[in-house]
Amino acid sequence: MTALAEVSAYVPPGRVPIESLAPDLGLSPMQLRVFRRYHGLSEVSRDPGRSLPELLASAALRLRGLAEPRVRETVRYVLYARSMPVVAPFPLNPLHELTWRLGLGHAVAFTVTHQACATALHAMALAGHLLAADGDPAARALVVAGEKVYTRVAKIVPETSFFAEASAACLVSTSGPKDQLLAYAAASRGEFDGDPGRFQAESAYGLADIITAALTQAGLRPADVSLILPHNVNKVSWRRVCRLLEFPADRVLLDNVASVGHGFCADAFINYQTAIERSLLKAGDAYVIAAAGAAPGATFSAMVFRH
Amino acid sequence: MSGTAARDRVMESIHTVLPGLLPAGSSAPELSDKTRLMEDLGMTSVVTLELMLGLEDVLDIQIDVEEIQPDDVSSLGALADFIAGQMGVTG
Repeated sequence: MTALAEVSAYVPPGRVPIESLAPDLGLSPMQLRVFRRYHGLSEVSRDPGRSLPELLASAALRLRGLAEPRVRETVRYVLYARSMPVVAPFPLNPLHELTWRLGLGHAVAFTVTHQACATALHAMALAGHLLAADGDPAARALVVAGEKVYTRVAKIVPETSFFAEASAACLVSTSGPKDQLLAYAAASRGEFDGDPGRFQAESAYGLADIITAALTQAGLRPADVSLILPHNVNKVSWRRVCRLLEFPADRVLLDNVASVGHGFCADAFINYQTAIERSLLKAGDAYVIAAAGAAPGATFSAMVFRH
Repeated sequence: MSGTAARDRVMESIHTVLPGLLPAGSSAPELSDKTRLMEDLGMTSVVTLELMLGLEDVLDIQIDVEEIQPDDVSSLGALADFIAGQMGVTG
């Protein structure tokens, strides 16, 4: 079984209003109105003073486990869950720089991508598989997420959302008293490639279907779920998902959409931290992490956990 | 204002606002009740939201998009019916 031993997130204090991004991104006043009024977007976090390795380290160093040498020694794998294929110019290697900073040079470190913003779920599942194959119950994997708005495509999801600079880190284990993975469902849908209009029209159905699939796998129904930790693209899409699932919208943690923006693959962990800070999860609660990744094609993913 | 008058006013407003949202260079399409937003006009869901905001400005109303169902934006006629309903008129 895969479990989340510890989760941390770093959301920088800096914010920019979405209006300030309009000149650079060629957005019209009407487009900004749609983003504010319907999508629920307002400002996005920015951390211009930190490099990518520093941004990732800001979350990873908040993990109490990594402060202990005996825990660091058990980390066999470091997985960087990433939305964008390119995050730094050659020959910089942000992941390797991060592992050196964290004293994890002994671990196998690699990037997981190709599912865009749904990649964090894939990375957690992959970490669990690697640890299970490893055979050592004390072994750990570190999953990190977060990116800089390095290129134009890393600043905006057209007609959908704005990317935010933030980061997260998660220690994965094969056992643990809490945050046990009950189910994981993912669907990669190549038919959406090159058809953003179709993706917009059908993405709510894709997310609702994959959440239902994951819950069915876990032997649960939507009514059994205490909380959904979503990807923070916008509010209007999640309201559609809730209608399809007949799930109360106030049990989807959307507060960070307006105040942080879409933190690439880090959203689930950012929302998890918010849920813990606000005591929204109690022991034994079932919760869902769900995300959609767009381009090329689309991936819809959902995980069910027991807190 | 009667329901019919309100609906007529909504359709007039759609005829005013919609052409500005269609791709530049596209020829002015024939707009009728049966015109389908996605299939006939190639509108995405976001452009549909821009249409809603434009109609709010012209009609001086607030549209509750939480109430919108897919059928309400299937055609211009369906959209006009929905918005006229939001204007709280009775037929």
